[in-house]
This record gives sequence, structure tokens and C-alpha cells, in this order.
Amino acid sequence: MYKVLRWIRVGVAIATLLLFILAFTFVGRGIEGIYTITRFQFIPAMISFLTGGAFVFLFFVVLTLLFGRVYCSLFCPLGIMQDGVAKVASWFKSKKGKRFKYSKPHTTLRVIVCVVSFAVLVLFGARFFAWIDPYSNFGKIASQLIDPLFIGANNLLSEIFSDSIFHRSHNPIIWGSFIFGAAFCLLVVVMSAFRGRLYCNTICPVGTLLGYISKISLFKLAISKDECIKCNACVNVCKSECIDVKSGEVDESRCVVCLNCTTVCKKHGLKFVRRSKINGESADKGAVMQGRREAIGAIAGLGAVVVARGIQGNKAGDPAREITGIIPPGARSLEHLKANCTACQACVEACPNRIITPAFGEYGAANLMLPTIHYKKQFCGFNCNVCSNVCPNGALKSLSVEEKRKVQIGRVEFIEKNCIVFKHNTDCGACDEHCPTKAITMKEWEGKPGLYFPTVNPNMCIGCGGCEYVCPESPKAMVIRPLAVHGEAIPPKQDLQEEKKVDDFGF
Amino acid sequence: MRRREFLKTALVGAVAGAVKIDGNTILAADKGAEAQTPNDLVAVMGGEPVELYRKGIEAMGGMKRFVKKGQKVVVKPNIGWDKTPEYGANTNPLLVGEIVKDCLKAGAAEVVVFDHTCDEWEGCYKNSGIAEAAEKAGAKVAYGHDEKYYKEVELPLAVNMKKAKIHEAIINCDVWINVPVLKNHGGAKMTISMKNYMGIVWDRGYLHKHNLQQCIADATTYEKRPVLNIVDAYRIMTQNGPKGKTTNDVQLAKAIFMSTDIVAVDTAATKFFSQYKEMSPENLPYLSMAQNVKVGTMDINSLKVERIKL
Repeated sequence: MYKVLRWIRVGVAIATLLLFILAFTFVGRGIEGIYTITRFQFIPAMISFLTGGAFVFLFFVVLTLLFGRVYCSLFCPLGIMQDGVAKVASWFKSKKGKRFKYSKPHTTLRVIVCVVSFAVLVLFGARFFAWIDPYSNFGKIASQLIDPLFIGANNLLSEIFSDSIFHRSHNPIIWGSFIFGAAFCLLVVVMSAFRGRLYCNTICPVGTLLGYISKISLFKLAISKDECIKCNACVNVCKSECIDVKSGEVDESRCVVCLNCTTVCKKHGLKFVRRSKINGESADKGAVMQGRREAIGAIAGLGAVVVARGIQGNKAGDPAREITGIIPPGARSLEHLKANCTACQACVEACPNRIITPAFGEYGAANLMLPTIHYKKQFCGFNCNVCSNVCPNGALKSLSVEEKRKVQIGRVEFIEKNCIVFKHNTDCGACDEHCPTKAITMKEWEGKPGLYFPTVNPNMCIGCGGCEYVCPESPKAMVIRPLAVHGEAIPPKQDLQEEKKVDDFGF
Repeated sequence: MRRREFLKTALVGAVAGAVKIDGNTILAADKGAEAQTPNDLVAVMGGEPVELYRKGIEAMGGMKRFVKKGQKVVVKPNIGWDKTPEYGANTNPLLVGEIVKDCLKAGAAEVVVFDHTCDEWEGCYKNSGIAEAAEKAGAKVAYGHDEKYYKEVELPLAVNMKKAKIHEAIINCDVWINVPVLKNHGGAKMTISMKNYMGIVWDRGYLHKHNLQQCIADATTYEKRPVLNIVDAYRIMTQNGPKGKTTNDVQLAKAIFMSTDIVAVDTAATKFFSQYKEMSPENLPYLSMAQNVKVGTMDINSLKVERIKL
């Protein structure tokens, strides 16, 4: 039975990883609902507890209370990636080198990292948690390291199959984010290549938290002392390094329930056992009580985080705050983004126009890698609401196309002295051409019959950036000024005209 | 067609049909000198897109006049905007599909459809309905969103834009057919056949920057001229063009204009348009600029024109 369960674990894990790679690279773009998987993640579900994530969040807590950290093996893309790395690394190791050994937990370190991380989340918002959240960091790795590789491969293929594969012009790499992603990836790869799930069991705050909750899980993997011949077969395959044959204990706070041990034990000595049974047999009542206290402490702490975030609510933020990047639609304000965004890059990857990038200073030095919009290579599609609907955290609130068309993410500023019409007295109107709301209209220049120049109504502007992107002049005559707090644009004018019947050709 | 002529034609046709000889040659011969000089410009109004096209192309002498067997053909519609057909921002997909079919029927080896769009290209290709219609009709839809698909050419007759990067499909084809939609335009005033050239050029900003009107005329001096310009005036955008806001910007005009002469067809379409909204070919500088370098003529009366009302 454990063999079957283990294969199910491997199957689900591979499916999870593939779906995440699809979602966070161009390959999966356009697959309807692909980003739904991002909602089945612990931290996004916690952050969006009050905005739709409660069910998933409680599901994961209950799952852990039942079976321990299965989440880390089945649903965490970063964890699964590490299993993959460990597997590949094992192919290059000697028979002896492949073996894992039991190691003692780094209890102090992991508890400090975990407590500090969640405290920061409550006190300073998700923006710093973005540096350590396993899901979001997998997003950064995929978006900054895997997607560029895929794009490169696609573009090579597009040279061969030029009729059916198109060249992708987009380069997703933003150096600040790339360096972070690469460094983090390197850390995780090295740790997992040598020591399996060491990262998950030492640094990852989610791993620690779920690990401590696991201390009172209904079932746990345990060594049957009657069967165990202390052959070490289980220890050799335990990538969590959490089986101590000497004492006959499996450290459930580090066990990710991969089930590798259950299938290698020739005596079938590793099984899921009801905890009450083990506790009944255990000689060390103090340790049992200690575990119970720690688990309850972890659950209480988690509850406190959720409650504290709920009480904080949403701050409006300072509209006068100077920023140089545009906040994506649905974010409402920089304050809201800071509080809820873990910079997973889902919106960055989902944007069909590829105008969303990880911030690198646009929102100040403290808000790195949060999504920001630039209009250098494209502008925001009037019919598009994709970004707001892929955010698992609720940092970008889901908007219908109609709603998004009213949200003012920036305001146009017309710098007359840069405008071609004024500079050269020739026609242009590229800005007017691209304006979807006609916040820009062309007026005839008094004294220059036949020559039309743009006029702007910033209150009608939604900040889509069509004008800024297309303005052929440098420096630009049309510039979208970012808003630290989004506004509401006044609706476009309804230019009704009579239906006209014409019966002649006119020439 | 007068009654006597009709009867005569009908009789010849009936006989030809009965004895299975090629009726066309007899009919053509019968029409005499008049049939030997084909129409330069045809205008049709009062029908549905496909119907308008069929009447128009028949009056132009059929697609075989423009597309020869084995030729590589490009059909270049306006697919500039991520809008569905009822907004009138792009060429009608039904028309594009029908032209593609007709080119293939005339013996084209391949038909390519593309545009350098303004909005994000995948949205434009899809929501305009043009990619689907063209593919269904048997065309290949080409990509135009990246600079790599454009190659530099010289424009020796140009005044301002002496060089431009033009889409490889146009450069590689034997003949191309220009299929714009009739719209007003905030910058260029009108967008019809000549303005549609901006969709075969990579760097549109250059045109805007170096006297838009002159550069539009310059673009049309590219040596490979369209063999036929077909102006879709089924839905015409009379205000807020070229993108438009709502369907309020559109009038259902149900017309089509075709000509081998790009300046003439734009002049004619502008005059037609002026019945809806004030606009005069004289106020459209790129027309006279192109006329000056003999790309075409604004003098419609100097051409052989046929007007058809359905």
C-alpha cells in the first residue's frame, strides 16, 4: 500500500511542478484557469484569508493536523523542485555518497527565522515576506530564470519553423530581480543537492510552522520497534534527515511525508500510526507534553497572524507619495500592494502585453520586486483584465473588464514643448489614435487651419499608457504620472450620432 | 445594360451554354472595344460585404486580371486594433476571407495575410476575426509584431522617408492587394488605402516624426505597388477614429471601392465619406503629395469609373 501511496505522492508532485512551470513561463499563458493552482498555496491562502483564501488555508491546516507536512511534498513547488535537484544530484554521487544521514534539527535558527518572518509580515506587510515565501520565490525563479530559457529555445525554433512559431520579442529579465532569483535558486539548489530538504527544515518559515503543527498530527510515521533491525535503509533515503534509528524516533517537525522510508524498509517497520497509540507507549511523557505545547503555540501564533492582519484592514495610503512606476490595476494603492503582495510574479508572467515587471526602485528601496508597469514596449490593453484575476493574494483585486476601464492607475500629462505638432507644425496625432477613452482629442489650431494638436482631459484618463508608448518624440510629449493611490476616471463621453442614410456615391 | 443588349447577351449565353463552348470569349468579343479597356475604379453600394466584393471584382475584370497562376499573393487588411468587427476599426473579416478565396481560385500559389498592429497583436488578430477568416479561406496568417520580420528597402522617389523597413511578406510576394477600411483619423485626418501602408512598415514613429502626411505619401512610392486597392466601406468610422470608442462612432454605409489607382480610390472614398462627415480630398495633403510623384491621380474623371447600386 505504501508503494502505491508513494507513487501517488510522486505523481501529484510532478503534476504540481509542471503546472507551476507552465503558469510562470510563457508556455502556459493563455491556458484558461492555469493560475488557479496559485491559490492552492499556503501563504497566498493565508494572506487572502478574508478575501477568499480561508477555505484553502484551513484545508492545509487540517491536512497537517491529520498527516503532518504532506503539503511540503505535494503542493510546494519549491519543495518539489528540491526533491528533483536531490534526485538528479544522486545520479552523480557514489553509492555511499548517495546516503543521507540523520542530523540534529537546527531548532533555534528555524524558530527565529519563522517567528521573525511572520512578525515582519504582520508589522511591515507582505513585501518583506516576499523574500522568503517558498511559493513566491519559486515564482521568481521560474519567471526570471526558466522563462528566459524557454523564450530563447522558442526563438531558436522560430527560426526553423518560421510559419508556425513566432519570435518572442520580450525579455523578462530585470536585473535586480534576476540576481535575487539566481542567488536564491543557487542557495536552494546547493543545499538540496547535498542535504535534501535542509532548506525546508532550517530556513523556510512555512516548513517550520507546519512542522510544529505536525507535532500533534493525528497520524504520524513511526518506526515499529519490534520490527526494526536498525539496518539504516530508511535513514539512507530520508532527504529530511529526520529518522534517528538509535532512539527509534522520526522527527515529524522535519518529516515531509515523502514515504521513501516506508517503501525501502524490508520489514515494513515504518507505518502511519495513531499518535495516541505512540503517546500511550512512550516512556517520555515530558517530551509528549513539550510537543503538544509547541504545536499549540504554532497554531496560536498562526491564528494571531491571521487575526492581526484582519484587524489591520486596508490602509488607504498617502496619495502624495512619489513613485516612478505605475501600480497595476486592482492594487488600489501602494499601501495595499505592500501589505499583500509577496512578489510571486504571477501578474508579471500573465500580462499578455508584458508591461508588468518586478520593481527595482520605482516604489523606493524597501519595496523591491513588487509588480510595476512601464510603457516602454507596450501599453495596457483596454480589453484586458488578466493581471487582476491571477493574483492569489488578493493584492490585486479581481476586476471585470468594465470595472478596470474605470480605474485610473495614472494620469496623463501633456508636455506641449515636446509635441511634434508644435515643434514642426506637421500632423501627428499618434497619441489620440491610441487613446481608448478619448481623454486625448485633437483640436484645430487657431490660426493654423488644417493643423490639429492634442488636448488632454486627465480626469478621463485611465493611465493605460497608449499615448506615452506611441509618442514618437523623445523626450515624450505624453507622460503617464503614476498614482500612489488609484483613482476613478470619469466615464468617456458618449458621442451619439444620428444614423445617416446616404444614397449617392458623392463623386 | 439596355434591353436589346441584354437580350442579345442572354441569347448568346444560352447558345453557348447549350453547345458547351466558352461563352466568355463570345460575350467579350460581342461587347467590342468597350470591354477591352477595363475599369480603373469601381464603386458598389447597397449590399453585404461579400456581395459588394463580388459585384465590384466582376466589374474590375475578375481576380484573374490581378492574380496570375502560381503567384505568391499578400492580402493586407487593416488589423490595427483589438476590436470586434461591429466597431468598424478593422477591415471586415468576411471581406478578407472572400478575397483570399478568390485569389486562390484565380490560381495563387499562396495567400499571406498580416498587419503590423497598434494594439497587442494577438488580441487584434483574434478579436478582429480576421486571422480565423483568413485561415479558414486558405490563407497563411503571418506574424508582424517583431522587427525581425521587416527588411530595409530604399524609397528613391520619397521626399522625407528615403529608407524604410518593410514586412518580408510584401518584399517576397509577387503581388499584393491592399484592403483598408474607411475611417476618420485624428492624426492623418483620414485612413484609407494610403494610410494602410503604415501597417507594412516597422517604424511608424519615424513617419509621425518626419511630417506624417509626406511620409505616408513616401511609403506609397515603394516600387512594389498593390495591384488592387479594395476599400471596405461596409461599416465606416466617422468619428473618434482610427480606434473609436463605441459603435456610436460607426455608420453602416454598405459600400466598397476598388481601384488600381491608390490615390484615386482614396479620393473617391473621401468624397463618399464627406456625405457623412465634412471632409475634402483637398484637405488631405498626402493625396496631392502622392499625386505629385505620380503614384496616382486625384482626378477621378480622368479614369474609367463604374458605379453600381445594388
